[in-house]
Amino acid sequence: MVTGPTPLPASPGKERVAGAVDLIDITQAFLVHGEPLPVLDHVDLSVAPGQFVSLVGPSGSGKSTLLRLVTGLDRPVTGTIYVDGRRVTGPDPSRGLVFQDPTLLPWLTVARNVALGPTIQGGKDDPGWRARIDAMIAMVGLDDFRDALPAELSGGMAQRASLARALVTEPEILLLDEPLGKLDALTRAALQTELARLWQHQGFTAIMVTHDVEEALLLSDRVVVFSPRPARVVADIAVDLDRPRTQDDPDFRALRRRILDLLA
Amino acid sequence: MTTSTTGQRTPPATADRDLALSRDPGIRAALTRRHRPRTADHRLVAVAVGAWLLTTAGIVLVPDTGAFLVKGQLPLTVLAGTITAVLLVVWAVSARPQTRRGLRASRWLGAWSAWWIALAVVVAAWDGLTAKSGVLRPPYVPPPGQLFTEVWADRVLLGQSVANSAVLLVLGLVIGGISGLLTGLWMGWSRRAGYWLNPIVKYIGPVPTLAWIPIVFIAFPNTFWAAVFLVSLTVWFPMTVLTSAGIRSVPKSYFDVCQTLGAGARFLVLKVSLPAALPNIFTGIFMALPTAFVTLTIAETLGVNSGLGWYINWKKGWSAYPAMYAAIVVMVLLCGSLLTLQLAVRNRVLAWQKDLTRW
Repeated sequence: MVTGPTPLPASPGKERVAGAVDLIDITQAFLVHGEPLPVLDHVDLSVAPGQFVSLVGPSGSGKSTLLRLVTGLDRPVTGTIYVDGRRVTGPDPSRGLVFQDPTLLPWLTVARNVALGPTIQGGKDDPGWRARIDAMIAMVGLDDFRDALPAELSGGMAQRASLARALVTEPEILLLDEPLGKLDALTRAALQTELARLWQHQGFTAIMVTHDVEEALLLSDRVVVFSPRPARVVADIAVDLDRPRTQDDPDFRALRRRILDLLA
Repeated sequence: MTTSTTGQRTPPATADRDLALSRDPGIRAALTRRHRPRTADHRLVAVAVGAWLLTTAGIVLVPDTGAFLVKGQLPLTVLAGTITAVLLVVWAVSARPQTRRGLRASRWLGAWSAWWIALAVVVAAWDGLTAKSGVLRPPYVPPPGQLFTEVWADRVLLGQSVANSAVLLVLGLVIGGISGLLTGLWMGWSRRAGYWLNPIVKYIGPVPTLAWIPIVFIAFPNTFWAAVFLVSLTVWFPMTVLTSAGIRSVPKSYFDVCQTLGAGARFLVLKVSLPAALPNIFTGIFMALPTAFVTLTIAETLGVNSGLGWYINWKKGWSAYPAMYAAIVVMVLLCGSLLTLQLAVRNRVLAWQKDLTRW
């Protein structure tokens, strides 16, 4: 299903810069019943531009919290996050977010949901944007469902639409919070391939939280393993395998074994 | 041949099999048995037309009782005859369901034939028990036709009453609805507004309108604006509560996604919160309408001295029961139509909702 790169119109008025992420000494905690609950414990992490990094760890270990901090939706208690050397102070369209749930706005059609970013930035009717929105919808294979409402889509289709919505504004960084976690095995495999293709195509930096070690190894350049809460980085494993990868490869299996041992 | 979502070509066999199966008369018959037929059931339509034909004939041919002066048999005949004729015309149109109009007619008959039969029975029985046999008599039970003569005889005053009620109701609904929407939005959005307004809404909202009447009629310069205020107040309460509840129940992830796409507060309020709260807002309007009718009628009876509520009470005072019944029928039709209109708008606006309950 991986097709050769087809030229995708660029979003108007924008040239691709970098997408380097640096987290320095990040600590995060929440108040639960009046008591501080530490979630992240002095985490340092750097991601190079265009890299695909997966975060794995026990559930509840604060990986999603880390992603939210990178989006700028939450502020850390201590530490600083830099994107391309600039400090993150709030959400920005250069950092896209995809949740486990598609979170499409149910009253908008697929096309209007994908066009949400351009609409917010006031360029919905610009022909350049229109072309890019159409190309993005085509790229995730939803051409026949442009005018469908989210309630009429299957889970996989909705997640495709949500990917298209996050990518239409050409973010430098795409943050994926268990994006395929709720899909069935077949749809998940199909979307893993698609995600790899979109990433190779568009060259964004990707940081993905996942519970699926195989998924992490299929897609990533690096797999970062977290400890149980409060989370620290236990291991940072480079995945130097040729793409496209297969689960049968002995090196792949060895890496999988190693990560599972770290998580156990 | 279409391309499926995964980008693979679907084998042509699927489409062919689809077509073959959908044209299978056995499958069609089984589905029709299982689901209520959505098009005209011609036997039922024939019964409906026959029932109205018989009712019309009965009104004309059976002699009226001599026990009292029977009024309004002529307009009743015209009405029954018109209904018969309309049903016949629609039935004729529905004979060709291939056409767009034919299908619409057929669906309408499929939905409402049974109701038309029931209405014919009610009208025939009512006329039979009053005008034809004199078992029941005016002024307590007038024959159905007399309602028309009463409306016609008092058309000027009744028309003014309806107009006055409509003005009060519309003003109250608009003022109360908009202020409720704004209060609800503000309360749902701002924590400080919630802090100050919540107790006010909780303690002012549930107080019965009747309790305010003595204060309000003194505080306002005239009864007209006092009544508008009372209707607005009853509309404001459910609108405020449901709008703010709707705003606060918007999934947080909608805001997260829109914020990462660059949305500011204005977009989040107008393009995310408001549409997401629409189901609740429509429930608010649905709850506000009947209480607005109640308040309006009470206010008209107690101080305004005009409008449909006042008219009904006034006629009662004169023991003019037929005129009172006629006014009540007018009120039923007006309130029912307004509520139906509201629900039709709701079903249209909320068509995006999954599993929308259609009333």
